[in-house]
Amino acid sequence: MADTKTKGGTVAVAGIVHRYAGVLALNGVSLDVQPGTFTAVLGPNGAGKSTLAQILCGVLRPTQGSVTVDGVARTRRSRRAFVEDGVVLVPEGRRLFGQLTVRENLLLGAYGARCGTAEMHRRLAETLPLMPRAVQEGQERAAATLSGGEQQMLAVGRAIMAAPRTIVLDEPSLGLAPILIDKVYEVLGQLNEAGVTVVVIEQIAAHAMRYAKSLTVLDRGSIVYSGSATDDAAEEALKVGYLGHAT
Amino acid sequence: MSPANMRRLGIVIAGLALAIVVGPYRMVGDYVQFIVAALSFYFIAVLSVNMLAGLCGIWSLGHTAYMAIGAYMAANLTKMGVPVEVIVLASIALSFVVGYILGLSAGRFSVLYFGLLTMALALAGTEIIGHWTAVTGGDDGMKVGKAITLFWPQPIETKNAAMICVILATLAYLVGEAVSNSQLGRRWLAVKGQRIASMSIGLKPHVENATAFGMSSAIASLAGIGMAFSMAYIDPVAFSLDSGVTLIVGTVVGGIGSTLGAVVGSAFITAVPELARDAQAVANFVYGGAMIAVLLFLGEGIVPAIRRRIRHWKGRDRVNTNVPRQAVDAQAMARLVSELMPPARHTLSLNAVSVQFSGLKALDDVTFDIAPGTAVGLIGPNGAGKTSLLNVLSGFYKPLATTTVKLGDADILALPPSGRAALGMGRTFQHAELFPELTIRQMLLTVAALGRPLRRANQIALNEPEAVAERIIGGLGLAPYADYMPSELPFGVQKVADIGRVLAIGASVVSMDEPFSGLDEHERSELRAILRGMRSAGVSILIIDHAVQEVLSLADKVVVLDFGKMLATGEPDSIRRNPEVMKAYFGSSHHVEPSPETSAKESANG
Amino acid sequence: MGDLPAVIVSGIVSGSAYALLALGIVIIFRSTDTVNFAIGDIGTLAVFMTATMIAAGLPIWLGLIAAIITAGILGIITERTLIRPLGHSRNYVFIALVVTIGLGLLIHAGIFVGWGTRPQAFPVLIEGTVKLFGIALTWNKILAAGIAAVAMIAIAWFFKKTPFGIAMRATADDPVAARMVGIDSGRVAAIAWFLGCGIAAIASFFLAADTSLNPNLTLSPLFRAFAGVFLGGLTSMAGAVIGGFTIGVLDNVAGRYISASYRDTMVFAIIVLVLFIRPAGVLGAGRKERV
Repeated sequence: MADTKTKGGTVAVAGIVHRYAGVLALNGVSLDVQPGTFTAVLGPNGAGKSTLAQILCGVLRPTQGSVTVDGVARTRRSRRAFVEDGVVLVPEGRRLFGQLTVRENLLLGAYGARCGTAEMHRRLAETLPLMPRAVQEGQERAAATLSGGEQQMLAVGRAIMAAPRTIVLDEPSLGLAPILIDKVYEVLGQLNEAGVTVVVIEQIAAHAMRYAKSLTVLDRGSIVYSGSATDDAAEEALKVGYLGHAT
Repeated sequence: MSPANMRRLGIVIAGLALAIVVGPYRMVGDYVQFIVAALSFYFIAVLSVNMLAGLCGIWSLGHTAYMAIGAYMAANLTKMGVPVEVIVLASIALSFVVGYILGLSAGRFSVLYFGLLTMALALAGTEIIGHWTAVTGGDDGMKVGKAITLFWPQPIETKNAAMICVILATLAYLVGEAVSNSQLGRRWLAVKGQRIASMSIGLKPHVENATAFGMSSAIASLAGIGMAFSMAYIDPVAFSLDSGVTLIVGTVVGGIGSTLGAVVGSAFITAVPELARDAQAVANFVYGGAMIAVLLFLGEGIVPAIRRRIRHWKGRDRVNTNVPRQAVDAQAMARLVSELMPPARHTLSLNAVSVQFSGLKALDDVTFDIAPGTAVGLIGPNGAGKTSLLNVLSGFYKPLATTTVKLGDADILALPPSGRAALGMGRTFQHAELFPELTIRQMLLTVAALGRPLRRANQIALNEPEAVAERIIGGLGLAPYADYMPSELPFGVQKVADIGRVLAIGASVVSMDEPFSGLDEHERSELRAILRGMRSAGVSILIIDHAVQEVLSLADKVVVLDFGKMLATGEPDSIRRNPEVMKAYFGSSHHVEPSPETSAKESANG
Repeated sequence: MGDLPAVIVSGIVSGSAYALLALGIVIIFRSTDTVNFAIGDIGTLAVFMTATMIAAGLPIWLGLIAAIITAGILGIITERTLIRPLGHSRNYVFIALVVTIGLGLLIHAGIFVGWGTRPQAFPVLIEGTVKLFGIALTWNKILAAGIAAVAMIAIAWFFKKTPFGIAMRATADDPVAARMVGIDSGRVAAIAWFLGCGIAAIASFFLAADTSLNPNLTLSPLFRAFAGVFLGGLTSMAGAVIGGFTIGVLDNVAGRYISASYRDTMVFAIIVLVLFIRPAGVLGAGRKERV
């Protein structure tokens, strides 16, 4: 596992309002991700989950509200994401560089975190054992030729290459068969045990609920539940979030 | 007389007056005649490029080739004693045909590729002119005889040909104005702004593009005729790529999509070389600098920028959000719908719908019916194949050969996307996808005109586009917003206007892509009323939405997709209780298995 | 048809200039979605500037390097001052193209003001000619082709092997994902414009030595380079190079065996044919534009 000294670190957002061309996606969301936790953010589609994921990682600037990394406000900074601060996003749909090779995809994860060539290759050697065989053996293949599960693992691997202190995954289970989802979550569990803060954003609750210790439920741009993942209240919040009170 | 007609009359009178002034009575000097002639033919040429860029988003660097067609036809036919009137008609016809054929390809390429293709056309055109000596005189150029006209006994002296230029420019101005303010221009703007949405209302983008390119080419050829007669001598340099670039300069500086902009732009490209007569470098410097400055600082050119400032200054670009939109109730909606569209008569039946992308099945054997006047909900987790299904219905995905989709007896899949509107199939869009350069009223007018045959075939009494648009604006409470551009309106209003578009086309089978997404609670409750009203007026509705609770409360029947397969189908209550559906949404977790009494309570509330 | 080998060789030699320009166009397009119409003019302006330095005593080899660097810096300045401020409006792709057309006009005007209207003599690196398949080729042309080949290999190495080159390819593949990974898009754009304009300067340098130094030096080669880009697809670097060479050969073959006076028209015909058969280019991997 890469670099365990600087693990932890917090990302917190407060009073986030975000609109896309006037359309409200998030309406007053505050979330404090504690270091070393495994948090699940759940909600039906259109709840604003992806928007929140991107704001947490500095990929998107919120219309209103503050974002802090380790207590330092980041709302109006440069256009760059928080990769250098150790907050890394595994985006929805994986967003691998399909025409680039598997190895190049991995190296770019480290490159984005501004590390030198030697360090880059050291991290590559550490990350590869976590990857499925197709990734390990097919380093010169174009990433687009991997299967869905392998691509998802590669996307996680690319994020690990940045030696993250916080890793945010946007729908890692999307389009994957249950057995492959388990594989992804196993690696996430290992990362979390090694001290990395993990935030998974999911529409499908099952897998995330098995690993997550804290839960946030998002519905139509607002947080409707935030707390322990095992409470009865969590269960109720989920049900209402998905199926609603019939109207 | 309407203000528009007054304006047209004004232009005709001004044009004729100017034509007489620069004409044979020697009322002004040679230099003025020359300047007026140049201004006129540059105006025609810039207008042709400007119109195409503004209304269709097609940029042409090769319009000098059409000017060449006009010019060399003028030169050659005059030699044979053909009068100028006939030359005009002949070169309009020839340029239109050539332009139409080239324009057909515009839809195949991006703006960029097509722009570069027209650049190549300009270069090749110059070379052909340079070498086809029999017709063009080659690089040495050729003399142009005096214009013969049917209305004057003697040929027109070269100097006085300014008169011809002015008359042609007046004609071009009228055509340009008429096109921009007509159904034709609005259709082009619709295609330019939202290709997919334009097909959903029955437009064929490649035909619209080709027609526009043909018309624009025909107008450009008029510039060539004017140029030939007033210069008395033509050579390939006048039709080189540099001249094509100059026309782009005129278009950009004056303002894209504005007839007045073309006047300003042509004045610019006429004046600059005149003022910097001895220094080509200065002219180039001014051209390049002006073009860059306009694009960097004004964006859309002088005239539109001024218009926008005025609109902003008058506060016309801001909607007063303090006035709440009057809500539409279900009964009023049902009345509105029954006045505008026939109840659905046929069942839309989807049979074994399968779609495959590079070996991966996005949809696998999906089969269900939408009976006339019912609402069917389509739900499923992200990636389940809902969007793919909609794309099959709209004609953008080709399903496997075993698939059949029929509306009554009509085979939907045999029709192109644009052919489905004629059967009464309509759709709305997740992001509204209104035409960005049409106001709500203009959009409804355009679509209502396209919906005429369908309404006539169904004996709908209300059929005049103006009346239909007014009825929809009133019925949906859009009156305060009708004269705004979509971008100036709140998203909820845009989505209502999108439904208005379906009403205007007269569709009776409507697919709705995520109608609830992006709406607030107030807007949602209004949308529910609209949907209930549509259904009770007999419209068949397919609702595709992530908002499961909304779909369950509205639909008569619900189809659940997961991984491209049909997971369940049935009445909302049975779906709510279906353990398979729960599993698809929540996985196998026991956490969220709803207890029977909760479901019962929920449905009782609904 | 006995002289076919000779026609092909001379086609390849002139194709090297088209391939360089085409490669420059593609590198810039891939990074900033801008078709740089002024790429040839920027290269030409750089050569005019170095010609003055060479006349003042700069060794010609250093002159070539100076031209590359000057053009590269002009490229970076262009991207910063004219392209980036455009933001990403709806018609961005075409507006950016029109801006570069405007820049081309400005550069032309600048050259007229600075160096007058008369073509200037430009020194060659090596004098003399050599006979190949029965045709005489100047050493200048052969050296040009050689240096073009070296430049292309260097560029290929840069994009394939260096982390920054890989990052540039990643940006072309998916600019949003590149930003998510932490790649600095501003630096990618700057380097792309430096490289693109720099290799255009190599083409201009040898074209000037071949004939004379004049402002319209690259007009006809640029047209052929665009044809090559069409052939190879706007997003493929390898395609651009192959396309450039192919156009060089086809142009020469058609000029020799069909008609010498309709060469532009035949290049146009090739473009039209290619576009209708494969709108994304023969080697292009589909169109990719920002929406």
